[in-house]
Amino acid sequence: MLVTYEWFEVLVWTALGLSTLAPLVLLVLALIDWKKEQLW
Amino acid sequence: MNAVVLSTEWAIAIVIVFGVLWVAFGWWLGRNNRTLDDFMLAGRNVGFAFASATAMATWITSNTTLLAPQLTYELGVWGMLGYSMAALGLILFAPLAKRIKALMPHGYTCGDFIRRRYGRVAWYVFLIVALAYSFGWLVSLGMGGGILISTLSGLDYRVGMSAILFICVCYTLLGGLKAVIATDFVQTIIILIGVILIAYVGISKLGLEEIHTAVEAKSPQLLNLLFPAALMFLFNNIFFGIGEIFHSNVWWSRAFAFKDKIGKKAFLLAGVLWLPIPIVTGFIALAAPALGLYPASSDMVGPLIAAKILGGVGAFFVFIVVFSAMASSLDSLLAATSDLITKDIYGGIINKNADKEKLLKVSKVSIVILGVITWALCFPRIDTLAAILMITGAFVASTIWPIVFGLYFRRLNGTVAALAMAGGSAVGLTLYFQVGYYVSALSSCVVSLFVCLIGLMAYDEKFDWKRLQ
Amino acid sequence: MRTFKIKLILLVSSLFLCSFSFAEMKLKSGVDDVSKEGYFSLSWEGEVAESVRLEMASSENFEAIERKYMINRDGKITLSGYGDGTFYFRLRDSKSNEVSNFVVVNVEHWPLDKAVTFFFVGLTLFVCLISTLLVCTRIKKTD
Repeated sequence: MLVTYEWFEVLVWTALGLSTLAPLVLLVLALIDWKKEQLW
Repeated sequence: MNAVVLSTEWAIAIVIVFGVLWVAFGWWLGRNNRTLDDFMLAGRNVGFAFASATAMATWITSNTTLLAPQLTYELGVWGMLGYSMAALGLILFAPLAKRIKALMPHGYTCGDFIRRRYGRVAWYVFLIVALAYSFGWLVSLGMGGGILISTLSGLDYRVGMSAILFICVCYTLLGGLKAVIATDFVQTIIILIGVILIAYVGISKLGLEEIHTAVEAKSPQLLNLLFPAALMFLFNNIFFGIGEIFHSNVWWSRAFAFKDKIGKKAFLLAGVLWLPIPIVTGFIALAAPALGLYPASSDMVGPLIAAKILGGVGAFFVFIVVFSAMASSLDSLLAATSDLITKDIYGGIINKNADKEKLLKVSKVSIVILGVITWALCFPRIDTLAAILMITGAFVASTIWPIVFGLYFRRLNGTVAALAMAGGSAVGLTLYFQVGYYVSALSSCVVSLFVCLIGLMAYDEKFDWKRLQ
Repeated sequence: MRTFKIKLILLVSSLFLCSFSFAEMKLKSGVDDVSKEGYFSLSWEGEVAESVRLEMASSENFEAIERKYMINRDGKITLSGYGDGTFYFRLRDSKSNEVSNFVVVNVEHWPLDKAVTFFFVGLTLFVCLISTLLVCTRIKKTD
């Protein structure tokens, strides 16, 4: 039962898409916290 | 060694620039630290963004950037999926973090909890487990880091290892948990950008379809969903990860340090954001057959392929990513283990009447001592020592149930918890040597569950939650 | 449990060295003598030219070369993704001269039923943990 190319593609692109979002999410959250002066 | 892909001068430059940056940052952050709570727990007021980033960064160790490609190279698609399931540790810790903060708003360490909840015997067993794990992790980070730096750049192992330890000890000492958390934030962003860039360039240069076709032709087993060893590895790895997070003061100290009502959200987000990372760092290993490039040892497959695809620039990124990943875990581990030594061993055993000012001093001294011990253990480069972390799977998985039951059930009694941890560890350790690494955490966890269940049926402790406050 | 650890004994052939340029190759295995996971490392001592390739065949006389690998200068290579079977490896230079002895690698994956059993034990334990946590957080919320 081998992973077909279609599934492999879905897996890699989903992972890559999600991790591309990660730094953006963290930066936006930090900006919000900083504005509200709630970083610490 | 022909794996050297970055000039030694560049490596030294990166180490110096980042070292100075982090130490200065640590000093700046720590300049207003006054009390023990400031130093050990960042004033117990860490906001959502920093909380999520620090949980994520600490869980991205040099292992995530090296072991994920290695497991993918050895166990295929299940290897990287299995490794990414370590995110479950963070996700499942989310409700526990909330409960911990609610039960012990003034707590400092996980040792505090075990002592008050289960009494001295269980606490001693727990301390052995926790310290064995901490040293296993410290040594594997220090040694793994030194080896990697020397393989990537030709920089002498002892120089690289000493440099990274020295830098981390310095800024942790200057800034306490605040410095650890703030550098973690910056390091997370660096690591993420690095691994994403490597992945994108890799795909655009090679093509996903070419990678898949080559693997299917030359190493089909890696795409097999019924790969036996990989199936066995999967849940063992999940329980190893859960055990690591549930018991370790690295995570408990974060639960105490995060602002009220932040802990649960932060751990959940960190887990979800961490989940895809091992796939992004791991799939690159599958490019080996397409490139016709095979590593000398499988732990070097990630850096080898990244450097091949991206050339000198790739090597530069790999170096920075791995250096950041190592630092972000090493600093957290130094801080959390020093807390454990300060509060539990010094304040709990050696000098029970120590005041907070005394403890603050001890906390700083113990960071230095920990750094020195780790350095001394790493210096002779006994390669087998780096494997110790794998053995600790048996220990840490035995603590999962005692911690879960201890946090939610008043019934579970201290002797039973001690027995569960000791029994689970013993069985897991035996099976580690008799059968293999992929059964030790799982068996330890099963045994500990059975002991706990028998204890829950036989005794009722009627524990008063107020005793934790 | 020990019985399923080692079933076949690995045969590492070490032919006599016949010339100076001959490299002695051996299998560097971890715990098991038979690869249970389809990955293994081969290493060789002595200098080999850059044009040398590692060849794989499924018979001792190397009648049909099934795969060729470029080698690195570390004197070691780790291969993975092999299915069950017996595989033969040797080093040959560009003029088709043998420059090493040959090595036999046996790959015998864990029986699938054993692996699936482990998988389901793990799954059951995992479901136990998740449901305990779900129930506990629910109850504490209503408290």
